[in-house]
Amino acid sequence: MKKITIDPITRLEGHGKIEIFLNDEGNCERACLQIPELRGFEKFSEGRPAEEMPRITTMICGVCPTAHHMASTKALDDLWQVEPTPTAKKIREIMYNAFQAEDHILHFFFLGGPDFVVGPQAPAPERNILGVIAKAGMETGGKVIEMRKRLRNVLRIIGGKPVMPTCGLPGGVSKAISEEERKTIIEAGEYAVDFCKVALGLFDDIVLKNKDYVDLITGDIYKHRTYYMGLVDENNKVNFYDGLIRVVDPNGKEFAKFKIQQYLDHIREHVEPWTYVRFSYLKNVGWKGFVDGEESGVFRVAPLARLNVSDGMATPLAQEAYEKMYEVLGGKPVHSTLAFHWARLVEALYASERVLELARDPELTSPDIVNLPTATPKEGIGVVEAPRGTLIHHYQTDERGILTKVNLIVATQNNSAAINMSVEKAAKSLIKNGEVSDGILNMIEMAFRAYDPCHACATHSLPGRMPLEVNVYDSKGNSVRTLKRNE
Amino acid sequence: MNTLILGIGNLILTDDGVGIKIAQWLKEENPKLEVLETSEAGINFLDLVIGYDKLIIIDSIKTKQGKPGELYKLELEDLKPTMDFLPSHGIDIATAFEVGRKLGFKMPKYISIYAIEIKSNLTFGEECTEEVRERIPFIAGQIMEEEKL
Repeated sequence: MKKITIDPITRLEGHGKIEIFLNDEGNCERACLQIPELRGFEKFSEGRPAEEMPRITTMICGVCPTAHHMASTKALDDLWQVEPTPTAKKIREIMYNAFQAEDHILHFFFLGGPDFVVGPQAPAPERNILGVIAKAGMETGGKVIEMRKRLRNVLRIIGGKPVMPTCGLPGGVSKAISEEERKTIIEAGEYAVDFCKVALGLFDDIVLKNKDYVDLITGDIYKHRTYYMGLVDENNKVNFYDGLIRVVDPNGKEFAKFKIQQYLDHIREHVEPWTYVRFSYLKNVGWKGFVDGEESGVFRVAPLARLNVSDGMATPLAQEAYEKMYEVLGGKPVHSTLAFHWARLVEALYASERVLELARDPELTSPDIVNLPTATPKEGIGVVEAPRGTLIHHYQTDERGILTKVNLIVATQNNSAAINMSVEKAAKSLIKNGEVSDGILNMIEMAFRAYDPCHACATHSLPGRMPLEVNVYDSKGNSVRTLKRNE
Repeated sequence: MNTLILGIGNLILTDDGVGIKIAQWLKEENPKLEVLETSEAGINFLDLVIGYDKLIIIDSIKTKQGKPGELYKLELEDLKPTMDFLPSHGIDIATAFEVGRKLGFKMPKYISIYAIEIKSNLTFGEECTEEVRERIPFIAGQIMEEEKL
């Protein structure tokens, strides 16, 4: 057997790239984010039985398999016109919220948080989970891992596996919950609620008590007045699993509210020649380019967007956290991109409380977990709020349920126009007279990290992270600076 | 000894899923083995490996002059990034394990990492390419022998 020192190929097609173009004065003239995308999943799916989709779609994305599994399962409910049993809905929603909470906490502590907890311009080697642990304490670090371990055990109990679930069926789920499993879920929920309170306390101490950070969050560098989109329940409260899509305008006024089956009346996709990524926009406002404001159809999804479109949170502690956030940031809607991080913690608390609430429901352990479908399939659309925003699966089949057409609108695609705008605005605000330090480049990266985008996450060969390259060009197009991350 | 076999990859991206396929093969050979599949990397799967004495990771890899289907055994240290390319926020598997230990978790004492050189992981497909596919039984056998499974 050969032993080697690892030297993986730099897969250029696997790079995320931030391209920054400077003018003669050395100021940023234009900036954009280019991300690779694997095309062809839709074609790969066509010709398969639709019921295979919840299993296959978990593999589209390494970071949000549960979101794809659930959107796909809901598309199958719609395809076969079958309503899941009340117990099945609760089991699904517990699994979904457990996933949402662990994913949000992972992002906050491992990816987005280091910018705040350690500092936006801190040296790169310190700006990671190790730096967070050094600042937030060993106990907090241990709790991050422990909370994920417990919540992923909930995913294992319900979904069959801790990472890629297999439980979703049209009309229900494949396995009932025992009383013993209920106890484990309750314990995990209690642990998660406690830890989310700690995490919000930490945000309070480290971020909100630091005037520079608050100025950074509320400052103009990271601000865009856009429309927002997200799922809400019957009381217009945030819901990740089900509900109606609500859109608010940049003033916070309701612009549209619709069932997912009508999404084509509201969402369209714009194509640019320089990228494979499609840019979602509001059809009834129109595509006006990469600009914000009421006249532009650009909208945002994900944690801050969901809080902006809702009238509150459906659980008590998350509601308190929600009120505090809007009080500190000056009322709804909040347009500050960096506030996505705060909204993420509010949502993690809600998701944890919701796990607990559903786990205590007497109906949870009922054996009535599936309604068998009897209708002839034709077309089905499913939606969930993925951690990174609204995720839509749309299937068409023949009468045997064989897929003839598949369309997925993924969360990051809904945010992609705004992500580009945010990167450009940060670059224009921060780069002056050709000065591009590591700290400045990190602050530009922060603009897109806030969205927690999941780019090209479908391949996982070692070393296992998508590399990001930041390229800076002078006014003549010569490369003057290149910075590589996660190589 | 309490052993976990972790197959890493993506089963619908041609060769990307070869690590999972080999892990599944081992499970079929010996149903008593504890096998998990994941598409995650580094610290993201830390919680899954806590409590085991031994961890066997099987993943795919692309190297500069590699021949598809070749098997490598790597050490944790091999996966440390070079100083030139310090990751911005992510940390490597080796550091992730240090973090786990520091935080007081019982991390696996023995870690074996196997990587299979692949040809393609940028196109959708459930089958591996021929060069990789035909090596799966042999590689599974090699790992069983090496690890005394």
